Amino acid sequence: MLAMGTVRIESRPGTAWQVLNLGLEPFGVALRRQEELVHQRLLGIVPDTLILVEHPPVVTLGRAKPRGNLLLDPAMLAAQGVEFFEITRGGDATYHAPGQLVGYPIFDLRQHGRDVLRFCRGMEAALIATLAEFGIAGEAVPGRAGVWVHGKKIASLGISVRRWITFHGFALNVTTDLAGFQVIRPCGEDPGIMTSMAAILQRPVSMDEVRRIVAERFAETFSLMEASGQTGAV
Amino acid sequence: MATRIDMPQLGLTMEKGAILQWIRAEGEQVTKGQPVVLIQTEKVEYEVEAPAAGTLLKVVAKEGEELPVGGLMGILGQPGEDVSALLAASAAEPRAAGPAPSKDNHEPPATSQEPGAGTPRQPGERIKISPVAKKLAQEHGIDIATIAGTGPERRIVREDVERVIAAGGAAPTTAAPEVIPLSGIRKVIFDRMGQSWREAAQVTLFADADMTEVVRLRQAKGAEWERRFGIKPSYSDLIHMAVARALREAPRINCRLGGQGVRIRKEVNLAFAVDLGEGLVAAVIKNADKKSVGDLAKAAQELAGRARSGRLAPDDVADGTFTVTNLGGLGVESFTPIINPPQAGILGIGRIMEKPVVLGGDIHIRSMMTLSLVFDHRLIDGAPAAKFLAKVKELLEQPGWIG
Repeated sequence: MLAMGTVRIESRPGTAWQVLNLGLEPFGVALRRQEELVHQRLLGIVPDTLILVEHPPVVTLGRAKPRGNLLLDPAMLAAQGVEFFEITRGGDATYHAPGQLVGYPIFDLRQHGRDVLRFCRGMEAALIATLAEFGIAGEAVPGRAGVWVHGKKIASLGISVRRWITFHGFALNVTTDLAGFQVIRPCGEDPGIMTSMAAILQRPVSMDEVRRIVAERFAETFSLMEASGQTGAV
Repeated sequence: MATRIDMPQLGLTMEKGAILQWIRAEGEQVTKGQPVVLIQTEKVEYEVEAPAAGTLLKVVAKEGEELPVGGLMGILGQPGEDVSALLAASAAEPRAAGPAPSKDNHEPPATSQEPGAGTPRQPGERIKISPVAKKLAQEHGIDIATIAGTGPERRIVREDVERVIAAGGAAPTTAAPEVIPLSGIRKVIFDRMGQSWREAAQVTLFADADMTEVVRLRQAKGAEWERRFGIKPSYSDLIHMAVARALREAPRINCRLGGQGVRIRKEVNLAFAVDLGEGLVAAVIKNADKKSVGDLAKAAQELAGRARSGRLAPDDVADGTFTVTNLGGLGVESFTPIINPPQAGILGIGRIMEKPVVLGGDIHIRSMMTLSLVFDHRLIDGAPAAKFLAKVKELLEQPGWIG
């Protein structure tokens, strides 16, 4: 089994899923943890799991994506204390840093209608519902995955699916230092396109509060999604 | 035999996907279920598994190429096998076509059940019975429809009849009860209603609203509304309108349990219950207080249609702030619905009935309707809840504001 250490597991009443709050954990460590959980989820020995984590500064690049979207090469990134990973997920160049809430849903889509695009829409809906609790009007833009606020991107999205098990997920800027995005072209866009909850609200935002609400909105959205008549449909 | 590896359909709305990377090269052997190729659609990367064991004979679609769902990506088979016929057929397929019929390269849904020995027979299913068993059953006057078969394909064999005879002639069970499994929508309702009932401190307030003016308004303006909006708003739509407006004026009721406290919401996202036959779902009209009566009616009609055809998007059900449920159409006079968590209130609507009402010392015939507001007293106090209900009643009794 997974070495839990100080990890807090919350089982939610009425739902057979769990939330793993990892706090601050390096990307590579969290990646191995994801892979272990995907394997365990496939075997059915763990329930659907949402990992919530923050990473020390790191740039990740989706497979088969142009390195041109890195504005600094990996050696220059390292010199700035930024790690670099090439990984298997949808999506393009992404930057993670403290203040950004990263969520990795390890969900078995065989129990959620076998529809990966619908799953993405569900993640967006859960994030939009989270932002609404803070008075931020987020929206999904057709053809541009992620969550947007007035033309700026507040959350990125990119998932992988292996035998109907999802991994990777979303990154929501809560209090992220947006200057950090200057090292990449996030998803091929201008770095200036990124925004954060704190930048919009012009006040500090509690990461604890956001974490709690994201977990609640995930539980609500995914149980409602099943109630909306798509279960096992595809 | 050669097997096609096709672009899978990973969702109802998926039309095409791109080849990201071939994990296996031409000439390599794979076993069934091994990942062969990585594809991408929107921001999703998906490992496509080998539909059969064999050798990857041909990579048809190169990395970076985009294919419609069902398009041929590659061919598996035995070394030396002739795949020219498959390739020729594929070349004839339209390349950038719309959604192609999905090829079934997934396992069958978990609900499908192999008809096994001893399982109950479906109504209308032909009864299979061995000649010896049939004769024995006739001799003992046993109806063969009541005997459970344990032979291949549920065929009734001699032992099955003997077991019935030993048990006194009558089959132990005749009509098996129908079991609706606690999964899917049933499970969601099971969990959410149970959680709400256990956790919420529920209080119900009743009020009778005089709907006579609303009935009159709908009669007077129905034709005009239909002309203007292309739809005649129902009583439910007019009630939604009043509730949304009352919520805007009583924001304290428009709250949800979230994070560390009660979050009072500025937008009114009105949920309304839609009956699905087996199960129900609360569809959400976003910013309902800002919509005209025509837009409200259209939104409700579209959402209900999508709900009944199982095509609601996640956004159609997410983030409701208050629910209305109307059983008046089914003849119910009043009831106490269960709160839809994490919301804090739900309004039950009963049927509109003509009743004798005393007004100013005289008896009048008025169209009356019972409203029942159930609220979670942990989140909302009694007085603001009562004021909100009074506001809904007032807005319905003097509906001149509805344009």
